[in-house]
Amino acid sequence: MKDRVLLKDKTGDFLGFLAERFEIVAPVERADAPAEFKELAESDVPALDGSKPMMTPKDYLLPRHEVLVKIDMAGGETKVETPLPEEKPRVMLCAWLADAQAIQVLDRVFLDRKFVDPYYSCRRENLVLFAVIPAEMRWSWFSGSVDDVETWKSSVDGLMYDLGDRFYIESTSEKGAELIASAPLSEASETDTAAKNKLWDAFKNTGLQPFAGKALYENLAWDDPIWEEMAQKCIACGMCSFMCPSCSCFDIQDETCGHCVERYRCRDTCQFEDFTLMGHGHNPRATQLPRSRQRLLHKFKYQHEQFGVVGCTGCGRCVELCPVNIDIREALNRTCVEPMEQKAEA
Amino acid sequence: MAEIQDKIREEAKKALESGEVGVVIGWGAGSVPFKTTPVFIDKPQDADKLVWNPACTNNLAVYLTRWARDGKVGIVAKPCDIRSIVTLIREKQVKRENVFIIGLGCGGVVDTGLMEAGDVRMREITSLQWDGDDLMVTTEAGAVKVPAAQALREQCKVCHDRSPAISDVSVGDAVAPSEDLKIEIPGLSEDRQKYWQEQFAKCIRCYACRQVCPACYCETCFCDRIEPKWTAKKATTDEAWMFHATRAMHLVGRCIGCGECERVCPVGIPAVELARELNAVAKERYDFEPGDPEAEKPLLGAYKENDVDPAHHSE
Repeated sequence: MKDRVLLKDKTGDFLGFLAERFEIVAPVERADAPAEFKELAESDVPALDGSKPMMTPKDYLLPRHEVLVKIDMAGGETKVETPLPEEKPRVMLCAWLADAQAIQVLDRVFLDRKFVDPYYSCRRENLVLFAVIPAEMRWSWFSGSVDDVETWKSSVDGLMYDLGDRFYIESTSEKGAELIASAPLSEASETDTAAKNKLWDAFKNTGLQPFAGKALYENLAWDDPIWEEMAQKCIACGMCSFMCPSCSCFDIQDETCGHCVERYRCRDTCQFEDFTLMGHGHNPRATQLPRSRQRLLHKFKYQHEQFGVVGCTGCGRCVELCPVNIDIREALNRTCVEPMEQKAEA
Repeated sequence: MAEIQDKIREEAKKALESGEVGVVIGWGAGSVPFKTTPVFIDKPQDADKLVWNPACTNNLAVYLTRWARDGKVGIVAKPCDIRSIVTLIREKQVKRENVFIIGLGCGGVVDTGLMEAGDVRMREITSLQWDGDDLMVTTEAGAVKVPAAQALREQCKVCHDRSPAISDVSVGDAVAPSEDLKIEIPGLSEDRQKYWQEQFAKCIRCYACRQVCPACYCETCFCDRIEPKWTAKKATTDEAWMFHATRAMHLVGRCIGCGECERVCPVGIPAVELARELNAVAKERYDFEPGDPEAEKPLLGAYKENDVDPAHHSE
């Protein structure tokens, strides 16, 4: 596997090469909003450097609104349609590595062997995934604190390191190696490799927290006073979940319109009051406290127990965006590090 | 600024010690130096956790409907936050006797997004302070001066209401009103329709705008109702349009323009512009200003015989 470089002024050639073989999915800038992953149209200029805020790749793989079944009963005849996305080779470029790793979490939910979600699977199968390591890490990132990020390299097919006037392109799978071997790219020099190694170290060490390396799933306590503190200030919006690359909860709704019925899937979150509201009126999570607790325990405890992966990959979006500055990092330090230190002192 | 912070702590401590209030809602240090976070102080010795700095953006009045229902609470409030409190009192959501207002004079708060767009490296910030009209950003590499025009939140630049309209104790001097700047109110045009179409197309329906809004206190929002179903849950442009337009209509004469909805929106929808437009109409036709303590009744709860009939109103 020989690593190569993409000179930024040759980006057009590289994209042209990819476009002949794949549907290219990449973040595209929007006015006054984070870039969004979409299938590139010819006029689209992808935002490849990964330094600015962007929506998650989840929005592409698991759209915010997706019709599952359409039923048409016009003229007494019942027609049922399941509009599956087209299966075709796709390449996703410039997902943050944390976001690419979060796709591993989504895979556990939607590609579980017992039940494969056909809608998710159509987009996910045959997806070649290249993550980006930007020239400068965002202040909110803490990936190196939740997991050994070296192991995340096997979750992608390759990495693009932003070295200023060029991207260093490293393949981490056979598929990735094949692709970059035939792509119009230049040879990497020793200087390039050294710069790439430096950038990787910077990513690994970005935002390292006191809880780094601690077994969070063992230390998160059901009755920790922090849940009350978080619930006090939480305003119960769904931003942390909707902007999260690994939160995957959805709602299914039926809509009727004349002789048609449409069943669609849309986002839902454990932070909404009606998320656990039962048909008969009972709500097992009746207050914000169990809702605040649920989100963290699900990510750091339950998903770890279920799948062996951590449900949070440290992308930092909720840290940056929470309207009331509930900082997941602070919560983990408080619940997992301070009690251990107190125990050690005693 | 440090003096004002000391006074806030002192007043909070007094109110808690005397038993006048059970809790004081204020801003505390955030998880990073350029943010603050709401804190709920219930012990006099914890009053020192209260802070006052250019990052005290949150309109804490949003917590009052939950906290001031069964007892008296203290709240640290900027002039705009106080207009929210006035609205809550007028709409009988909060009793005046249940809030102890520690009112502040305010020259504006910062938009950290704008700072990031500039040259400041967020990671290196250690503190934010006002230095005259400039924002002094102290970083590990030294201090950087950011002009107010670059640092202030949009609505702070045009705010005329710089001192508390009502309060129980007033802390800090009233700050002179800013120059007579006006926010442009766009007319009705195809361009405007296109503009909002693009804005609503971005909406992810996280409801942060609604949840952060002190005026959005309905126990069940119309868009969470299943029967009747006013708007579907899906994040499509049409449904988002229905949500935002209805919310704006519900806010006429009630939104005080704190801009929290705009601040928290993860996709940059300037929802406050809608309410601002409607408020401009309310001002022009009925001489009503939201949050004005002199007004006896809410805009939509008052009727005068010479009121303009909107159905017959021509531009």
